[in-house]
Amino acid sequence: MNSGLAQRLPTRRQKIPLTPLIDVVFILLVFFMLAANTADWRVITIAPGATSRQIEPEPPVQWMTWKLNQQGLQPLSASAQSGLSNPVSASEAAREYLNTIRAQGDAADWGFALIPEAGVDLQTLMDSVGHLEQSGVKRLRLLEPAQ
Amino acid sequence: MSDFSRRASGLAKRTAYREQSSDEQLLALINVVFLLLIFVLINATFIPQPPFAVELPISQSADEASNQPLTIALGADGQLAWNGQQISSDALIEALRGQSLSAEAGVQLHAHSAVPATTVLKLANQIEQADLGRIDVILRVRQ
Repeated sequence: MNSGLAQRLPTRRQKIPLTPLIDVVFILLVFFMLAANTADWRVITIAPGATSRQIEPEPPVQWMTWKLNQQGLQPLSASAQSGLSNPVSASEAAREYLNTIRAQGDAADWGFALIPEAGVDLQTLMDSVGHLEQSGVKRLRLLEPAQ
Repeated sequence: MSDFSRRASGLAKRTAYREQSSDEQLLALINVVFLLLIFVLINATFIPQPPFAVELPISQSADEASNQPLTIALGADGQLAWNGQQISSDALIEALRGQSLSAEAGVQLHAHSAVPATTVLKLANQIEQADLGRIDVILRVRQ
């Protein structure tokens, strides 16, 4: 019945040895698993112009300037009207800033400048930036302390 | 057909069946391993390791990082590395300029959490003055 089909098929197929193939694939797998990085990374972007004292954004922006030290954030500029004398947390600073710009009028004309003092490490700075961004601070500038 | 040849053909059939069945099992294994290999290749990021240790800062729920071609490493003592090689900051800026970056490309910065913030800002300022786009500071998620 199926003898015609059987005749057309090759009687003996050449076998590809599979064991060396799987050896190589296993070695590739192990290599890539060791070399690869699957860590879940996050990012905080420093926008162009955000660390420069020379570049001024449009429209002219009034900056509320804060210094950052190990204890927290302290207002520097005269536009910080709170009279805060003790360092506060980033969330409190953000609340203070948002209240001030709401009281002053157009929020588009305001920005938050942060100057980390010498001795502040990157972890502290990134914690503060993360909290400020979460609290709704939109225009953030990071400046080096004045020489 | 003699008794011997009948036995021999029965043995040959059984051997062929066994060979086919072990090959089929091996094929399934290879399929799975290939799938694993493709999964690892797609999910992973490969970056050249700097010659010094970099312990990334911990994130307070920032945005997820995307893959970027240019990665700089900054060690705890302020040493810089690019493409796995230690490099001075002037040479780094020159090297980055040679990469003809587009404005939206940006640079990924893998900085040690204990590096002074002013060192990072100084580097960011240099990158900015060289018109190299934005800087993405990379953080890790708290385990």
